[in-house]
Amino acid sequence: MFTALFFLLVVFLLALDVPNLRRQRLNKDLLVYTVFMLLAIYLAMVQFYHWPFFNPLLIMAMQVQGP
Amino acid sequence: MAKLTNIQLFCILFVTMAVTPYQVLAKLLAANVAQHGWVVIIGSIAPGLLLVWIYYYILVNSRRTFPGMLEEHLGTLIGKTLGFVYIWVFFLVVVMSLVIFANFFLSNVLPGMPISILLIFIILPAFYALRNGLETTARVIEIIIMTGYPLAMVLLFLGLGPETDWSRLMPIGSFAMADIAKGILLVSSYCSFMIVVLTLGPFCHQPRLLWRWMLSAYGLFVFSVLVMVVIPIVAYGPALTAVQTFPIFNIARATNIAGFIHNIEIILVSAVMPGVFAILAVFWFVTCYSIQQVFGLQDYRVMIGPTAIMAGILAVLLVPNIHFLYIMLDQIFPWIFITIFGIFPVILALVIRVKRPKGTPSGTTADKK
Repeated sequence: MFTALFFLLVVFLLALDVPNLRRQRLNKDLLVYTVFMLLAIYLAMVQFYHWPFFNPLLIMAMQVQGP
Repeated sequence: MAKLTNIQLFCILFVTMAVTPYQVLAKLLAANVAQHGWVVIIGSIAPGLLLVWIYYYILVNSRRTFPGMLEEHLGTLIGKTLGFVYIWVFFLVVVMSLVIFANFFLSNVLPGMPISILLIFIILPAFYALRNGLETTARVIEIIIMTGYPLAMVLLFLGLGPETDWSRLMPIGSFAMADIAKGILLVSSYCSFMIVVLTLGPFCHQPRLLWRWMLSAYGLFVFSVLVMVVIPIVAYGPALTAVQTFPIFNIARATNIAGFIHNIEIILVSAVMPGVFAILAVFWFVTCYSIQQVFGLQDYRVMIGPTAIMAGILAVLLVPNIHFLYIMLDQIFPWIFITIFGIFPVILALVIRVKRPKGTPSGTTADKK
C-alpha cells in the first residue's frame, strides 16, 4: 500500500518536471534529475524493504557511545 | 534574478542560526558544562564575529554566488569537488532539522503519530514555497520571524516563575576548560549556519550594506541563545535541564500565571513549526542551488522533487531514535559543521587574500557587479 502511494508520488513528480526538461532539450538537467530520482527511489526501497544500508553517522555515534 | 530586501536577508540569517538551538541547545550545554552555559555563549562571541567577518570578506571579494565562488577562487576541479561536498552537508542540515522536529513532535506533542505523516506535512509547505521561488520563501520567513520570534521569546520569559533561582548560574569558577571549549564549538557550529549568506547575499538589494545586517542577525542570535540557555538553568537547575529531552517545551508546559494563563505549550509548538519550515526551506534552497551551480543546470527548481523524497526518507533512515540524535548533535554534527562551514571558509578567505593583487583594497571585485 505504502509502496504504491510512494510510486504514485514519484509519477506525479516526474509528470511535473520531465516534460519541461524534454521540451527545452535540457539533457544534462534531465540526466542529473534522473540520477537523484533513482537515488531517492533506492533510499525508499531501503526503508520499505529493510535492505542493508551503510549509515556512517550511526556507526560514528555507536563508536562515540562505546560498549 | 530574484531580489531580497535587507530585512528579509536578516530574517533568513537569524532563523537559520536560531531555530535548532531553540530546540536542543539548553540540554546540550547543560549536559556538557552544567550551569556555565552563559559563560560559553559569551566565549563564543569572538569566534562568531570572526565567522561573520570571514563570510563578509569572501562575499565582497567574489563575483559569483556560493558554491560557484569556490571555482572562481580555487579552480574548476577543486571548486567542483568542494561544491559537491557542500551539497551533501547542506542536505545534512535539512535532514537534521527534520529529525529534530520529528523527534520533538513525537516525544512531546503527539506521541504515536506516524513519522511519515509528520514529515510529509512539514516537507509539503517547504516544497511548495521553493517551487514558487526564493522571493516567496523569503517573504514567508519575514512573516515568521516578525510574528513567531517575539512569541517564542515571550514564552521563555513566562517560564521565570516563582521557583526561579538565579543562584543556579553559580558557582562560576568550577569548570574544565575542555568542556568550555567543546561548548564554544557547539555554539559556533550553529553560528556557522550563517554560511547561507554566501549564496543569498548576492541576491540582496544592497550587498555593500550586508555587514550591518549580518552583524545585527548575529547580535540577535547571541542574545537569543543566551536567553534559551539561561532560563532553563534558573528554572530547573543544570542537572534537571540535562536529562530532559526538550527543556524549553517543559518550560512552556509548566507556565502558569495566576491560574489564568496555562496550558500554553501549543503556542510554542505553533512558533517552532514555522521556524522549522524556515530553516528547512533555506537549506533546501541552498542545496538545490548548489546542485545547479556544481552541475551547471538551467534551474535549481527541478531538483526540489527528488531531494524532497530523499530528505523524507533519510530523516527516518539516518537517525534511528532520540538517543542517537542527541549523541550526533553533541559529538558528530558540530565537528562536521565547524569544519565545512567554519574552517573551509577561513582557508578560502586566506586563499583570496594571498591571490589578490598587491595594493588592491578589499571589496574591489564586488564593485564590478
